[in-house]
Amino acid sequence: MLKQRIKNGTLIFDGAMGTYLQKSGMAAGEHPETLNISQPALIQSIHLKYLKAGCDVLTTNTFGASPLKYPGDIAPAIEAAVANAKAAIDAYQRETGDASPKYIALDLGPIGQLLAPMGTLSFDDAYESYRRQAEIGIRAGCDLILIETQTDIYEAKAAVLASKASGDIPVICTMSFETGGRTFMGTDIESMATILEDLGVDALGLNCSFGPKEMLPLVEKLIGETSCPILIQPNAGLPKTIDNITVYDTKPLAFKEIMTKIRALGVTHIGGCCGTDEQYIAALKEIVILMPSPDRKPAPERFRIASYAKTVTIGGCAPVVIGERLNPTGKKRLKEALRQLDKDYILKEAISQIEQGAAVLDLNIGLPEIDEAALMPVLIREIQGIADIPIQIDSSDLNCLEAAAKYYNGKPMINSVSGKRESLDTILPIVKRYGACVLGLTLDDNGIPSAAEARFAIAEKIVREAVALGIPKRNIIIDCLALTASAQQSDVIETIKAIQLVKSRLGVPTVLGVSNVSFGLPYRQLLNQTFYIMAMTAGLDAAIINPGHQEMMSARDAFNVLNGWDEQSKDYIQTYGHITKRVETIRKEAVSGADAGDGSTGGLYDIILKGLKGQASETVEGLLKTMPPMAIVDEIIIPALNDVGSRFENGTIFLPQLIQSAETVQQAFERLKAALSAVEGASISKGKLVLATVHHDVHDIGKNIVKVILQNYGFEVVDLGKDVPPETILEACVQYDIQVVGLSALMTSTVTSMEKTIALIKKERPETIFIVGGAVLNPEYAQMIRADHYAKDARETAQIVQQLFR
Amino acid sequence: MTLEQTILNGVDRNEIYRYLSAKRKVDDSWQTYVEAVLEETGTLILPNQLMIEDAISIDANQVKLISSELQLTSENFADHIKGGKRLWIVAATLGHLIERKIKYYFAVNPTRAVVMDACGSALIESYCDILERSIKDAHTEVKGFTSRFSPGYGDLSLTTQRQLFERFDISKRTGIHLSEGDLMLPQKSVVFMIADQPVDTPQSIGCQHKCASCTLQHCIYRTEGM
Repeated sequence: MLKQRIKNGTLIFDGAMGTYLQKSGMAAGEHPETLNISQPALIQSIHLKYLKAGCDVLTTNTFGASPLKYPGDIAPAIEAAVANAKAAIDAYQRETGDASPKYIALDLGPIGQLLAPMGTLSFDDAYESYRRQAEIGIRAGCDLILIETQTDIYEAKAAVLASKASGDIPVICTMSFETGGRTFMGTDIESMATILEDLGVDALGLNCSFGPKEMLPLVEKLIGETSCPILIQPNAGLPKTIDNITVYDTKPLAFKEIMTKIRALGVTHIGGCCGTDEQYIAALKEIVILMPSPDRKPAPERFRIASYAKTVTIGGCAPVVIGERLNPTGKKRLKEALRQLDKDYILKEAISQIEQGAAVLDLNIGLPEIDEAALMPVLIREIQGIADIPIQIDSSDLNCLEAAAKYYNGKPMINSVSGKRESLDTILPIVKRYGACVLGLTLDDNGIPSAAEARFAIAEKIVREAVALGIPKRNIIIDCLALTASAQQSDVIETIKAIQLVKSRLGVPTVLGVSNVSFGLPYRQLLNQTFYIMAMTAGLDAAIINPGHQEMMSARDAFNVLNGWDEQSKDYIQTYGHITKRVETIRKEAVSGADAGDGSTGGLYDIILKGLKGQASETVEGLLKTMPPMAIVDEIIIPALNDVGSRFENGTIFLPQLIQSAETVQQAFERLKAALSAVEGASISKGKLVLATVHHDVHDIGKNIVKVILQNYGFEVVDLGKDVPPETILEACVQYDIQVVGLSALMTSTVTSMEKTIALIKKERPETIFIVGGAVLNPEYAQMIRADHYAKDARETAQIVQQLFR
Repeated sequence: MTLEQTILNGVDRNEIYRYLSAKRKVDDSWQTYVEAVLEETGTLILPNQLMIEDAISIDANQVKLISSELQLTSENFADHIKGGKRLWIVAATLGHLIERKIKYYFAVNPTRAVVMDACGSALIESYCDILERSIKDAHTEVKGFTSRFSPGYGDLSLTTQRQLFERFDISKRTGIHLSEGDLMLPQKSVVFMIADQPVDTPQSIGCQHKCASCTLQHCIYRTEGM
């Protein structure tokens, strides 16, 4: 069985196809896959050379045969590619009499488009593209699927899921790294190994980018991160293209020397990538003969969750903080943000938890009026678009969990499964399918048992059932559940005992939502903090808490010193070393960096002028005692903003100062909004408008600056982002009944998109007023494309908008 | 020294301040701030590049890359490299991490986002300077070189970008992708070309702010006094 051979044996893969074809005189710009049909003899002859050199696996000439890239129908090209490989194997066996098994790997290269949110290709489209390739390849008779040269782990995930869904043949996935140890999209070795291994690939590894010399340190790292079999296919060194000839700088002998070292690390499957030919593969064959089965140290089994660029290990290290604040229960402002899809607020909450020390974010959007399955992937994508923190998907909606696990970029943690029959039967298959981690709750159809032993029994059942389904034990974490001391006092200590039992007998890490313990009692902080320390002492590995609570974070910092996690108390000294003030303020000061600008204090006007954002809220608080909110806006904020604007215009201050003043005003507004929300019908809003960077343009920094400034003047901005099609802008105008639209374009080539947008919306809604801006525009050009106003910068936009809404 | 450090060391501070619309020297606390952001940006770069060299022939507005069998149409470009016999095409990028971090800061600290964006632009320029210098150093036999020229300059259409990407497999080899509108992703990426010159040219590297030769009369970054 091939699966067994991948798991326990050795396979030699072939070398380059593309660069070989170039050497063989392939026409410039030609798609190599067309040669499968037009020149089968050429393709077969290359395959045959590799077989004679000693390879076990031929890779089909289908690197670029994606329906999203290949100009023609991919089916004939893929079918011919597999047929060519088969023909070469037949010829080889006839010629040599060698009856050893030879395999055909269907080659799946990257699609060549960036997936959203960095690009525009959807995960579903990528998945469909790979699925179609895999189905055709499997039908044509390939023996395994080789997904290779991936730089985006998200695309690799789509490819692996699609391949596995297409048939029951082995799937191998290799990625291309840069010398710094990350792929071009930012994925590190540990995250790649963590994600791919649990997606269920049969082998994973590295290919392309550079030669074996540069790859060696990355392989050394990879070996320690996974127990999965590894495939390594380097280039023949670094390429140089002169006069249309690409030359690689590592000769077969040098290639062999370093590949021997790579093999000795325990790499079972080896082959070549760009620039290699049959001589390189013959060299690999010699290595395998000399070293038939290299030893490999097993990698430690760890509970790890990952985003595309960061892996967090839980257990066997300092306790991890999982930020709990993205959960609407009891949070009025978050509920409102979820209902109105106020992404800015949600992102701010995410970031502030990261900056306060959360290593993982819990994401729960459970509100009766919200379609969780639809919204969860959107929010995950938003958060992952800006930060690499891993996410714990927290929902009781099965569809939501499935959608989130699928679209999450990385290896997610699912919160949660319980000992209930239905839960086990429905949640665990999702965990398995998407290679996720799962949080198991020690409750079942009879509720939460009091005794520690009974909770342990449920944990044991969850682990047993998960393992039976093929979920590795390392992917399970148990929550022994905190009960409230006010109602079930005697059960509190049972939680602590259960943590000890789970740790010692089951050998899986534990997690706890700590603050439940103090419901209904005064001075909750003290109880939470004490319980947290008790649980950590009992071996708690992760806590779902509010990282904004100083006493919890400080307790954790101190625990890490006393328990020996914080070696030489380095982190502790760094956080607290220079501070002698009162306890409540110290951690906050230690973790938040100072802003630029001077530290003088003064009235709100002065504070805005100097951009002292830390002082705005407090000053507004003071002013509210004597002034109504709107008077503060009209009499202080707007004049101060105008002053800042003129200073920017005459060059007294530069752009970051303008923005910092704007941020200061935003801080003031947050406080004012709170004051106004107490008065029915009152609002700061001076009008609503749409902003967008036009279709095909990806430059949004100018638009973002305009947004900040407009919000400062009290305008509500519907920000549609960048690369926005005209129809989407029209829809937003209709949906929000908006008459003013601001459009931004940086490139000359995208001003036509601007023109199309204006034409479309003016046709449907002639009353719409357009303000346009961007480096390549000018007043005459703006007029030519029928825009109503041209604004040279954010400040001028604000002046125009103020006039329009007067 | 690592490539990342070399790129960081080569950054022209004046460029950063120019992108940030500074019309006079900013005070010390802001300079310290910009330096801190620059340092952080330096930790986010994932530099990657591809260099192609080919013989060329120039005929009116046609520049032909002989071995690569590629033809570029542009009067301005043909004029820019007039007399040249060889062309170097360089695609360079700083990777995706900067972009995500800028988005991150835009959500909580727009000031830092704006400064980081400017630092990223200065860093990619520095990287291009290094690559340009490496070509010149490797070809001491060449008398002179033109300054850098990129698709989108003058009448060299931005669609040239796609021609180059497809012909030289730039996406696969560098990780730079083209959007539907032929813009490069990640944004801190540059494709530039330089050609040899039969006469001595000033030994300067990088953008000489030859804005006078640019058709964008209203560009906000246009250098004054040309």
